[in-house]
Amino acid sequence: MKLHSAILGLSILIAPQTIFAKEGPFQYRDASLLINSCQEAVDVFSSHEKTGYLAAYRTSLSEALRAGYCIGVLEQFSDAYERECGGNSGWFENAQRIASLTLTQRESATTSTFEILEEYACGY
Amino acid sequence: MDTEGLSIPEAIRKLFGVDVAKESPLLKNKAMSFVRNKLIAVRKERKVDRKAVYLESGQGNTLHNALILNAVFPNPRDVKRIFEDDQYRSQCATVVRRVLTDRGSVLGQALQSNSSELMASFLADTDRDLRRQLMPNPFQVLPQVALGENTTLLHALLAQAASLEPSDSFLLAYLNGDWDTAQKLSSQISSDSPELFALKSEIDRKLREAHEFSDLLDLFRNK
Repeated sequence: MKLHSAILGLSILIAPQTIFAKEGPFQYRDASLLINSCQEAVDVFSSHEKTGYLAAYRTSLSEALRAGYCIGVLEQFSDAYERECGGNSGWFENAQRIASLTLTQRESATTSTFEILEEYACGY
Repeated sequence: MDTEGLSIPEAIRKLFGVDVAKESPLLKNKAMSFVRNKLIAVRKERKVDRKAVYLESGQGNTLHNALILNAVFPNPRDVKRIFEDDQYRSQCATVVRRVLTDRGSVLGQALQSNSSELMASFLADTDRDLRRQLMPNPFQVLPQVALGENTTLLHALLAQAASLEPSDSFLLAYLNGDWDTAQKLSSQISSDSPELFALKSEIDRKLREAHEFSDLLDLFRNK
């Protein structure tokens, strides 16, 4: 998380006014959407493991949509950066790592989705 | 069920778990009227101060079925005729189906015990021997026991209400997330009314969707 904290410090210095401004979804510096989405993805699949097809009963539409977002982003990222990425763990293992992150409000507003992906979606 | 040599109250306790002396003298009287009209065969013995009545062999199922039919048909003569007249029995099967399974509100039908339908089918199938086989009992508590003598006015309605069994209902199973049970039960209910059909289709649709979702999850996970 060194890169992460460096960026955090830098952005506090540079742009204190705009740190918490959120205009909508899919903001460059809003890692929380990805983290939340990957949490949903992990939840959906663990519910599926426990209850089989009843996972549908326990999963809401928005949870499913978020989970799909996480899966899509992780898959495409590791595919696009296959050469640069070291490991070859699947999207689920990457999603589990991302899901376990907890960012402070400040961190989530200053950390970009790309940084999270670089650090956790490449597979190690 | 073997009830040979039992007295009427003993047989009723064995068949329905009802203590007629405490809970329902009416049920005993109804049973006795089947003895009087000779639907049920008994052996009479003289005791010191009164006659004692004991069931002959093979009468248990007859008594059981007669008392259940009596919940819908209050007149013992009608009940006896159901045993003897196949054509009349078929007509009565239609009545049972009307009273217990067709007439209720949609919710009533959705909450209907599956055994009401089983009872109606049993009655409609004249190959099934009313004297040898136990007819499915749709009642949690026999209406004769629950209601005593006041059974005439709202008889059909109350009989219907007594046959509602939440634990057996497909709607409830569905709402509880027990979708396998819901589908199993709903497939056994005839869906003549459009409302009930809509409810059944909705449940089928949800289940189909859930299986699709499950297949998709498998696909994503095992790529």
